Amino acid sequence: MGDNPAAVAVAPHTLAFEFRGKGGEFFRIWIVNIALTLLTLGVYGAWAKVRTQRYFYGNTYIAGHAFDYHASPWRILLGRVIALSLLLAYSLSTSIYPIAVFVWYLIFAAFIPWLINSSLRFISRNSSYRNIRFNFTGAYVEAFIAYVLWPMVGGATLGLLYPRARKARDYYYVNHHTYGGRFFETEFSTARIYLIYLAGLGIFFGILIGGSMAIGAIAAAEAKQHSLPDLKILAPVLPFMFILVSFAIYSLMSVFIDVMVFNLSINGTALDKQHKLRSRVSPWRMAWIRISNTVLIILTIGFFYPWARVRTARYQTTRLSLIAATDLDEFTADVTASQSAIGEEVAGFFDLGIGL
Amino acid sequence: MSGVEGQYFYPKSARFVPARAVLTGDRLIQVLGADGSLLAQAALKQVRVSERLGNIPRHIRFADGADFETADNDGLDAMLRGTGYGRSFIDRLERSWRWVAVAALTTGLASAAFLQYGIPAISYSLAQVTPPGVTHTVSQKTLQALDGTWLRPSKLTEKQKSAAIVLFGRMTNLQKKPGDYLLVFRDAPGIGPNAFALPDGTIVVTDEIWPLVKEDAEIEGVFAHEISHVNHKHGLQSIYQASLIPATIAVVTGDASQIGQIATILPGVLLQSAYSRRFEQQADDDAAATLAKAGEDPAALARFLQRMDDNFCKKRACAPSWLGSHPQTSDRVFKLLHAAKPLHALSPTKTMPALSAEQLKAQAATNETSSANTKTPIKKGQTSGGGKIKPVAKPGRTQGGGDNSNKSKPPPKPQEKPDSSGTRGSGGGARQD
Repeated sequence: MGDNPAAVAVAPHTLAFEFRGKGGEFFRIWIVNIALTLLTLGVYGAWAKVRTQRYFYGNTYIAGHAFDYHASPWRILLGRVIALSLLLAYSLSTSIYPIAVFVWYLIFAAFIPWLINSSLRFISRNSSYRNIRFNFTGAYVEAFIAYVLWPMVGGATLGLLYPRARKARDYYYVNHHTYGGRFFETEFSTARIYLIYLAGLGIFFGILIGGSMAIGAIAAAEAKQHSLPDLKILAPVLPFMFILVSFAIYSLMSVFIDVMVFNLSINGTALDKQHKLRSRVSPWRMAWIRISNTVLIILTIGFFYPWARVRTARYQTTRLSLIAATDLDEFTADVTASQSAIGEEVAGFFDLGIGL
Repeated sequence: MSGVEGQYFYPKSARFVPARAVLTGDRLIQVLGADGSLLAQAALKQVRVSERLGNIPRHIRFADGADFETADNDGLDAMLRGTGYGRSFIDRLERSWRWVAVAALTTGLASAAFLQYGIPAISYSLAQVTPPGVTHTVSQKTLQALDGTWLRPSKLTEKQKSAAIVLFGRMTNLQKKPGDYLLVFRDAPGIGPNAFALPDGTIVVTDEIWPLVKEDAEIEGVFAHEISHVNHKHGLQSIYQASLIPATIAVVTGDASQIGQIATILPGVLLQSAYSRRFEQQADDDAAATLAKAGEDPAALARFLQRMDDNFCKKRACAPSWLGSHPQTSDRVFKLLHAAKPLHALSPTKTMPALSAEQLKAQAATNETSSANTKTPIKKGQTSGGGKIKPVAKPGRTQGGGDNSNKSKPPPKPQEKPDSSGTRGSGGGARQD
């Protein structure tokens, strides 16, 4: 641990994030979580969630200290009960009165900003580093614009403004997070995010069209030499294969876009206008991790899952770093809990631990 | 007194200094600075010691917002041994490979039991309480979607249709509510010979099925099979099963992001096929019973299935049963024959390369066009109908719910079958056989 305060360079220096979790260790936590969740018919799930979060936070280090997660399982249980009740009410009412769907859409649209703020507040206030909590300060109207209005505009323009909507969302997300009262702020150009989406589309259609032409050419060549019946055997599975392949290419595109946009918004982020974040995640490497994880999870009927999660977290974390403008220890030494103790502990009665 | 090394964070501050925590004889936690000065002190019961979890750093938090953090998990455990603080029961389970093995076993068994009995039972209950109005809407939407894609108006003549309706009536009249079923004719060159039931009692037969029918009892068996799907609300159950599987995986793994991942979808598809095979088995059993009740040969359905199988799977590999929504035809035939009194000519031993039938499951109900997952063997020349959907092959599959409607006519005796041996109207051109 780096418990050498004082005496470090004052010039900007890079502090790497580090993940110290281990697959085998997490496997034991995970399997016990699942067994207890099953035995309690899902109730223990809230406790399992807290243990899992604590494990990943507690193994994420920077400058010698780990993050910590403080949520109360009871609160998460309450959030889940409420969410489940709403879901039941929704399915029941829409079963009986299909028209009710529209009413629900309106309710959801009105509720979503509140729900998102509540959830982000819950998560951030329950996260800490060096004895200081994070916080989220977004307000209803801004959330409505970022999470309801912009996506609608994106949809109304047939996706043309979708990247812009994504930018609005990322801005809202990052710029309202604080650490000990100091704001995170991100900034990046709209052009960059459009470039990412264009590249993603290029990948999708490039592979799809290029691949189809290649296969078509091969098939045509084959058809000249072999009798058709041979190919017919494949006919039943062709549509299935086509869907599978399209889905795979689509997934690749999604990973590419997600990773690149994540990099973009993280790289534009600074804490307290001085300490900059850096993310250097490779979309190809991430795609490989996702694909191989999926295959291994299937082959092991799920048992690889804990290793897959640790592996993903380790990669993402190690690609992340903080460029500290000054000595981080001195910076954090100035940071004090900005919320009142009450605000911290209560975290707002209405803040729910509903994962979004 | 033993102690542990760590750092002390001043109250509500990120400022920290190296420190050492010790537990005194009278259960006081003291945090001492490097120079031995006392930084904080509180009774053990007034601080919060975080529970051990893997090897993450532990905290002793004081009421005033100060925090002692240490990476020395073992040291802290040793210091607190016997006090009841800091070590959790769960952690003990996680640390013992024996308990981890028990957990893995429990998980395996509980999951298997839940998948085997839980999901079917829940789906069954939900299907029972689904209002008829919903069932009807869902069914008609599905039919509309199919009409726009795979199905076309039937090319049968009115005479053929009424003959079929008479046979259908013989089967529905044996049900508790004969008016709950409606027979519908459609031409389906892309699907081939098939019959399926929608949850509201609408039973669709394709024109392509008629050329394969050699005796009335055969198509009656098909009708009875579909009627059974309706009676048991198999279609609705499938819909519920399809949504319960991913939800279950998400709840158990605590990771909703898994929904939509291939690793979640794939087992879902396989499981659904497995559930579906149970429904088919039940429908086959019911069909044999209904045929017997009608004074027909219960083995007629078996003969028909075998004929379809012969037609479709002879030259091509049909999907293995573990993939299919229907049990292997050879198994179905064998069981049906077993139920039948006269052991007919059909040799169960013959086992064709089974075709697993397809089925247009009502799941379609939910998504329009996407209806089915069927796997269909494509018959000879058959255009495979534009290839869209899946392959199909056998009659009856699908589910049902119950609802209204009409036409079961009085049961005149088996008239002649509608164009037996095919030919006639069986437009679709593809006359198999």
